[in-house]
Amino acid sequence: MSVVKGRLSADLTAPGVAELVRHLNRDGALCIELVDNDGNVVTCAGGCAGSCSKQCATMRSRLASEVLNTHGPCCGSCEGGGRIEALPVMHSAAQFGAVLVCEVPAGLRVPAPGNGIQTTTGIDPLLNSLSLLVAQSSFYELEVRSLTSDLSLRYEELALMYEIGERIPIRAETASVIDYVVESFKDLVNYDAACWVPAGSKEGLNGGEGEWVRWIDSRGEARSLDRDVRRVSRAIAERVASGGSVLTVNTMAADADTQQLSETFSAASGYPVAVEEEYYGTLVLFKFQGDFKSGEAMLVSAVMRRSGTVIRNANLYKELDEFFLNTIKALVRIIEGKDAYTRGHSERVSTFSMLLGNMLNLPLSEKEALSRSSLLHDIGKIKVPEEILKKPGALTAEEFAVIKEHPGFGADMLSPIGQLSHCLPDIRHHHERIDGKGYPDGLKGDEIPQRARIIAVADTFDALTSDRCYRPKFGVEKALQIIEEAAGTQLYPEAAAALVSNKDAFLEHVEAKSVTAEESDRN
Amino acid sequence: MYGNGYLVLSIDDDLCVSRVVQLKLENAGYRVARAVTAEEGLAKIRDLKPDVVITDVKMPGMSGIDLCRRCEELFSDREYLTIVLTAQLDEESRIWVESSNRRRFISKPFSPRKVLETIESYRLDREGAPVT
Repeated sequence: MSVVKGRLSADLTAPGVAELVRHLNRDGALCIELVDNDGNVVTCAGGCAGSCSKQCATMRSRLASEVLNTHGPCCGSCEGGGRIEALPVMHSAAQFGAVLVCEVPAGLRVPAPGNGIQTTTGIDPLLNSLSLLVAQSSFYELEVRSLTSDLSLRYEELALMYEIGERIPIRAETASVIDYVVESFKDLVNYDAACWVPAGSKEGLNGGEGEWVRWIDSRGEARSLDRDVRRVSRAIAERVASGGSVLTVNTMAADADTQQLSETFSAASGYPVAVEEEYYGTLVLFKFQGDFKSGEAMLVSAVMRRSGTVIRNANLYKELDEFFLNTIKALVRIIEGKDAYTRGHSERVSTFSMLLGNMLNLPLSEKEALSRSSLLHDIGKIKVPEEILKKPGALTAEEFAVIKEHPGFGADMLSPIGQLSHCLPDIRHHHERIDGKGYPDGLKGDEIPQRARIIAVADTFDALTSDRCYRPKFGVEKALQIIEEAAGTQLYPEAAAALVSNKDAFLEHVEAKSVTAEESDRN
Repeated sequence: MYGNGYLVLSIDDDLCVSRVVQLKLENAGYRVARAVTAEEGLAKIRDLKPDVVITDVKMPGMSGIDLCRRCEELFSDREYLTIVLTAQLDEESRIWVESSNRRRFISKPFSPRKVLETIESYRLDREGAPVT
């Protein structure tokens, strides 16, 4: 019979044994000893109060060893003639130790204090009850440890699931989300290589962007197998995607798709990452040794399903961002479409503004707002009649008054769009001047929002370096000179200085060709 | 003395949690004692002088945070690591916990491995050994 060795639960049993002895052994006739699987005495209680001879101790030790090795009872006697009986402490093929009971020779007995029952019953029933008591409590302790071990694993899984939801950056790329997730569960799931096979667009279930292979330990030999791993993974991915569920191959040699890697790996499994109709890709895991057990497969499967949701959210955010940006650009094209001279103006002002934003070390959130504000700064011109916008000569006072309305009108026009609320002041004030002589509100210096001050510099530079219906463009050097002269009065000095010192960065984007009058009329 | 000689006290009214913590740490060579209430925990901190105290917050009777504060008053001469293991912690308590490097906060559901890593890192730091 194969016997499992368990730990003797001394904490639980020692008090129990001591109690039992106290009640049953008042006349000191018995000595009871409990030893663990290594022969160490866990507890000793009873009549001789431990003052027995060395010979007795040696005998007891020998008997204990025999019991522990043979898993059966045995007996002997001490020099005083007292019997020693020994039994293993066992429960359901698990041995926790041994119990020994000695009959203490009359001369050595030390009666226990207080009242109690005299020992009239024989040793055997006592031995058996004792053995059973100790075995049962030790057995339950063993079971509890086993359950606790399982529970500990469940706790790890739960903590991982929570973490996956919380930690993945909302807008991350799909391939890096999967990479993060796979890295996270590497301590819970045994795998040696992983391959992410992203879904292609429309036609293929493979072939999407971001396919990768990662190895748990980077053995040189392992690296050169990347191509084969990808090929096998793609084959597995096809089957997973069409079946819609996890696929495990524990006998790789027997499977046509995985055969070529069966020298390296023993098992492979593929997990779909999908949400409703959308299939994002397949994760394929490989092991050098052993099988993919159902427990592991279930954990990975659950984690990948969760990841699918995260990816869908990330994609939705991305789509929303793009939609928003494209809508803005469409709006801008409307106003610029009519006038060949100003076509591309808003995009260039946006490019110049972003360059200035970088040079002035604006924080990321400011730069995002600046990008939108600068693109939309002239949206108010949609209200200005074409004849005024395209007039080749000087404007009358009334005509100029109409033009001066465009920043205010632009801000008003966009005010219902909550997401653009931080852009409104920038648009409204992009024609203010540092010296307070600008429009529409005559704000001075720091009263003007910083982004508006930046846009003013960018706007002026583009106006100076482009042809207009009322005058041709200035040369670059002349334009820079005008900018420098206007610093502090019209324009924000720091931005003006940044522009002048870094002119090469800006010149790249200055409008290359001139617009001729014929082209203008045609449009 | 076996193992690495460190004694860890786990205080939680949920026996599953303290059992899981005990198993994980004993397997790594630590000795572990358990308590079911903050009051029992306080007595054991006083008597057993643990090197690490892991405590839940919401328990019947005294809360884990009050226990921590009390112990720091009573045993100010002793050096030990406190890990607050809980599902929710109000902002004020969280700030207090994180204001000392002798206190850590781990949220539930927790990873037993992370608890072990936190303690190992503290122990190796204290012993001056490089952390692997």
